[in-house]
Amino acid sequence: MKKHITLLLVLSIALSLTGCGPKEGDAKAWPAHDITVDVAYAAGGTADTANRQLAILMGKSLGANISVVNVTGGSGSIAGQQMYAAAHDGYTWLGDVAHTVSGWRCLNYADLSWEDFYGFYAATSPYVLFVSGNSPYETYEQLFQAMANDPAIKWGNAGLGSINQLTGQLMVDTLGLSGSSVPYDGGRTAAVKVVAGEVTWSWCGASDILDLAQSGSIRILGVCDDQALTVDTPSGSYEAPSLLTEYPELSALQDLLYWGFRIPRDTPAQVVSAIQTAFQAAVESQEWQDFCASKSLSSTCVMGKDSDEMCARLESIYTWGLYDLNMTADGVSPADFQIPRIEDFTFPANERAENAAPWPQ
Amino acid sequence: MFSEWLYLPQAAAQYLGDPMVWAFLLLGTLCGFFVGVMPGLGPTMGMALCLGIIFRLEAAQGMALLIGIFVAAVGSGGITASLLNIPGTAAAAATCSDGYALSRQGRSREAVGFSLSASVLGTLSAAVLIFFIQPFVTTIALKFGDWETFLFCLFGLLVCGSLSGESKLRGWIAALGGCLVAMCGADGVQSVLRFTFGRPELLSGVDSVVAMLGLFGVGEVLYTLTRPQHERMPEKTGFPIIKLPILLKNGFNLLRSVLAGMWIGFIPGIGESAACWFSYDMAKRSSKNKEKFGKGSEEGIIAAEAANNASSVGALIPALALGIPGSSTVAMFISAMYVLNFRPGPTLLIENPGLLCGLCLLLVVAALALGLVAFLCSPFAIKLLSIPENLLMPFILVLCAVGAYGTTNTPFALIQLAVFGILGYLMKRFHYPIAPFVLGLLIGKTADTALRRALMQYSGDLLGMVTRPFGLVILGTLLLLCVVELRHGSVRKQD
Repeated sequence: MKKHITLLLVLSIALSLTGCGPKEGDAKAWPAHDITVDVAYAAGGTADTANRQLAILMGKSLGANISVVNVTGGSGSIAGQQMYAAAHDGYTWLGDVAHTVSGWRCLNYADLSWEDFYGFYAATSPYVLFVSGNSPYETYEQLFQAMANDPAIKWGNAGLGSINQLTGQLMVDTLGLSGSSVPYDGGRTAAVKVVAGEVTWSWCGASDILDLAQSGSIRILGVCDDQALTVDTPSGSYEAPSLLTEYPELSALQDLLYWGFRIPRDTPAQVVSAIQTAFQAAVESQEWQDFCASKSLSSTCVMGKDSDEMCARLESIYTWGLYDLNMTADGVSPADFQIPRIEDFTFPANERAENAAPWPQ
Repeated sequence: MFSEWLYLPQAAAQYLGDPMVWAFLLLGTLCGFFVGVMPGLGPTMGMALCLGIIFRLEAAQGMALLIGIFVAAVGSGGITASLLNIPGTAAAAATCSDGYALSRQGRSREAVGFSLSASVLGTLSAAVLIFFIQPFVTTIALKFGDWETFLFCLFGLLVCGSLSGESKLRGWIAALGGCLVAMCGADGVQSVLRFTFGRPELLSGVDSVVAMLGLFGVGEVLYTLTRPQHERMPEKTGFPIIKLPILLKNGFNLLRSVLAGMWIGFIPGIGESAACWFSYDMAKRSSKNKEKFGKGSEEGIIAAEAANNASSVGALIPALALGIPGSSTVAMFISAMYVLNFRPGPTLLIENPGLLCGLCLLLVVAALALGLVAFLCSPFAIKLLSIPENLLMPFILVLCAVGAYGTTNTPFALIQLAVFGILGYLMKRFHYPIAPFVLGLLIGKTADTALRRALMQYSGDLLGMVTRPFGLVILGTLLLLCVVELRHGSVRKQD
């Protein structure tokens, strides 16, 4: 008898659960139920916090709850594949950094790249070059001179194959310098190792380390942006000069660090349009501006063709950077996917870019 | 840097003068208790869930909610570990060894009582201590480089022998197994893929929480179901039993565990999960009743729980001062601080004088609130044990599966859970201790990465690496421990 009661209970729970999901053909306009953002990076990082803040703001204007889950690992490809395997109906997004999907083909992680998605990017930060606050190098010229004289000077990077390391190495190569690097777990950790004196200099997004500069623990020697960066410290302000003034060839490294989310490119057009509207409203809100200010980020609103071009440029830098480090899959070259080196980059760079579905107007 | 101490009266008025702060602290403690006892949820998930509401709160109220969840979730993980042999959080893994053994003797109320009181006392002591030593913590954390981290990991591997009960050799074999499993995934220096078997889910390695749920939880379920029933002694349900005389007798054990836990907590990356094991080992070495360890020793439960709570508090300070989180729990805490408009890093205390005083005060009150909430809510958890084992075990299995999925949000976690469950069963069946395996798993990858990074930093100057002052102290202690181990081994042979 007990067995029958248990069986009955189990069956009734199972039956009631079948009614919990969204019904197909629901007449209500999108979004009819909760949206999920699979963030490809760990909880607490900029990709995570930015997406959580966007979820709150966009959830308000879309009238839906947007929940954020962290699906880490595989350079973001696990979250990417999980999100791509879900229905392309606008209810599952991929929270990431703009370069995340660029390397998957060359790494053999997933047959996907930027042209399979629409990317929405809401915050950015320029790359900066810095040394410890008590370093003998007070200008980037002094540091570059020292590097030219002593190739043993070490720099700390955010991890081998990370976008920070690849762009930092590209800077070193472009300037004809050399120097060995030590990989750490992220730009912030590398910066702390600079403060600890374990490496001489490092390179990462300004948002990762601006407070360390403001406390005087590190000194920013140059910024990869058109504008100089003013840093207020307890002992007074100083201006970190633009590296692009003296080295315009570094402009390829400008405007590369963006945080936001993606959706599959074959998502219905009216859903994409609704997301575009909500995204624009969110990034223009005071709450978003305050959030960016608190994280030393610059608010931005990158979508449409600008987003595609930026992602294509990142694909070029990222994949060739990996290839030069022998980090692409065996026998795979970016050339196999018609990806040009950054020196030869024009947009659209290849057939894939030309054939990518246009953004809804 | 010492001026922070002077803000105590002001912080007391700001943080404890508002009744809403108390209300949010209690609410946080309740939520934290729930996520702490639920395997796989834990403090990270608890704090992530509250991010959606804390941005609407005033800073002190938001901090109270956050601290309530943080303290209660870490502190209550030991309850599930003691009752069901499932570490509710990674930090509670060492509590399984003795807490669960005590529960099986029909003394689960005592096990929960020891776990709970050690958690409360551990957090309280750590909060007070951290208030006084905070000016020096950042300096200590900066001096702790990759070479020191590697030596510390070696220290951990040496400890594995004594975590293993009768046979040290089996302990080291298990630890080596754990280290090997930890090598799975992209390595931390060259990003070379190791033991991924073509599975993208393994690119970032094995998730240690899923592994522990499998080894302890599923392994125990399989083991129990293959043995005759009614091994567990029957007992009455009710409130946890707190034995003051035993706690007083363990005063030194408690203090040592708090100090060790806090110190280990300062080390980013391994601190929080490993602190309980180190402290447990120290308690075992200095105990007069070594034979009771692993079989329901109160000393073991107290050492593990006091250390894991103290290390969680200890880990907060360098993370807040440097802005680099050593674990996902601390990362989430930092993230929530940003939402509250604080900016963790060297400017945090300059921009927010008195914040650390407020934090310490909230930690103290949260620890007391945890004691109250957990004492009142534990009977419901203890009552679970009155369920017959053939019904309880499938329930544990479901909890483990939910916990594993909730940790990674991928279905592959269930495959990992099953594999580690079978491994846990086999290890238990063939008398290989699980604790050293877990410790190897937790520190293996850190040891590998730290050594290789240190060698890269000091390429061409190995003497400079070996003569770093902190490293020399750890190296000296390590050598001393080796000598003690060898002498102990030779004395036992002569006997």
